Amino acid sequence: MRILNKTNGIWMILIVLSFGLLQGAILLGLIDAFYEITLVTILINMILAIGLNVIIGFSGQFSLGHAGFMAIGAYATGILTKQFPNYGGMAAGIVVGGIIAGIVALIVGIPTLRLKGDYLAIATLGVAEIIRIIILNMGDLTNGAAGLSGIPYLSTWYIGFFLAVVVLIFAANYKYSSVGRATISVREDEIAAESLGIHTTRYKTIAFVMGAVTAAIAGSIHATYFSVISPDQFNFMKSIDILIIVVFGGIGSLTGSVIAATVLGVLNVFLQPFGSFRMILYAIALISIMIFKPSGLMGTKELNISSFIRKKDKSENKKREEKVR
Amino acid sequence: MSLLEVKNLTKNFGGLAAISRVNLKLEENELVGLIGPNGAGKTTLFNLLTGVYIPSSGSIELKQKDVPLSLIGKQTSQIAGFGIARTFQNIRLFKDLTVLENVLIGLHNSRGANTFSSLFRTKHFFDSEELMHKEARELLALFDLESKEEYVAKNLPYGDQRRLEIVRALATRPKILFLDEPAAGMNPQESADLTKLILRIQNEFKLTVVLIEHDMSVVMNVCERIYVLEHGRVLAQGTPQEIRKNKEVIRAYLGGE
Repeated sequence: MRILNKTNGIWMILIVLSFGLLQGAILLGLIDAFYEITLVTILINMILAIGLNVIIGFSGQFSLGHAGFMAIGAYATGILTKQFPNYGGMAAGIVVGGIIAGIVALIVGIPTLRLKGDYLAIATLGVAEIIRIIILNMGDLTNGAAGLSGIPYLSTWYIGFFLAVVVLIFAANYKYSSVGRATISVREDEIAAESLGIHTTRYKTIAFVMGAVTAAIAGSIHATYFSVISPDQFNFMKSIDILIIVVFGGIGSLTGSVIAATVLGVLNVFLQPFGSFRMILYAIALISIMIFKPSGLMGTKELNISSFIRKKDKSENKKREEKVR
Repeated sequence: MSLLEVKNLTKNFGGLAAISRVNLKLEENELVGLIGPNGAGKTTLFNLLTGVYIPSSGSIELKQKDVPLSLIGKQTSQIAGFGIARTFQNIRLFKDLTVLENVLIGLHNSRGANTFSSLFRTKHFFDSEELMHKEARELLALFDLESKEEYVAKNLPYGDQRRLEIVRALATRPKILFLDEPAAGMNPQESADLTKLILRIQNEFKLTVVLIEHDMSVVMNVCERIYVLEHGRVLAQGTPQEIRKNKEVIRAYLGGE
């Protein structure tokens, strides 16, 4: 099996280790019920940021409507789990929400992504608003401005963690593949990519749809963990929040998004005692990142485990060679 | 029929005819030069032939399995898929990607695994990645770039960047390769090396090369036929010897009555 190489093995160990740490902290009472909410929020933000990073970081298209796709997932799952309050209902909600979000992304993407330039930003800005207003006006199905409440508490942090890992793996699989490289080439130089036979619209659309589907998954977790959703949770500011995570972590870096979602989530908790002063400190943190590391925490680079291995191998080889001498 | 046949090709930008009624024929496995003063429309002609611009009128036909195929209205990526590759006057490498990745992207269209098998890491994905890496390394080795495969493209010396762009274009397995001023900014030694390289490409890959170039030592040494463009028209065509003696060409380049 070519999947079971050294790098993937180390990643697997890292993931299991972080799961164990979190589980241990919860059992020991270091993470209480309140902090668990923060943990799940971080995991949801992680999924959202990874998805947005696939759009912005890989294909280089600017999307400002991520909250809209999240809303689709949240409402699809909310409505379905209220009818079928079990994990089957939730799974159906994730699938239905993902499909609807994907279709909406296709409808928006195909015409706008044919153009070169930042037209997607304007289109998605509008689409997110349209989605929100449709939800507001869907009567009993979505319960208008009051939103849905009493959604069964189906999600736990386990589910959030599991789905975050799944989304991360798929995003990494995408990045390190030929289609991923083709998508990144569109970001780098659209004209050159075209000249090599790469159908740029197709790859921009694939990335956009993938981002939309992952946002819907995040929305599903949100709905079934918090039990209450309303249209104003998925407004423009939510999209900007996700964008901030992506930019903070580094556009194009998946591990950057993971780190940024965690850092910003934890920062939020630590700043809680400062009340509204918190927002100023939060802003200072962001501004200092922009000044000292404009490309974000990680830039376009990933936390590269295989290069560590290679370095180690090299130094071991050297030692061996020296011994031979 | 010829490999590529262009008839009465015209491109107007507003009132300016950048290319007007150009006729051009390319045969298989020949090396053709395209010269002309600045602003003659050479790059515009390349852009028309590769689908970047849409012609105002005229026809472009490519021989596909002995049947002519019109390239008018086709997208750049489709035309590239038919076997027409190019390089750019101002190098357009994927600057932040490695040398190897640049070539792999060139191979994507013909060899890349589809999205599904990439996401789910099927056997097909691993097979195609292996094949692509092997082919890319072979290509890089042909051009002495294999030792630099891990370099980020923007950190390469200028001459290497030019060569890498050619390698990347060759990765698409073209039938026709358009080179837009490949010797620009090169010193005489580098130009001489490039001349050898172009001849090698023509022989080893059995393809037609079209060359825009201002460096006459390159053009006169390698091209079998030369087209001279001035003000969007074909001023003259013929062998390098004929072009050298052509009065019209001398007038266009040096001035005169």
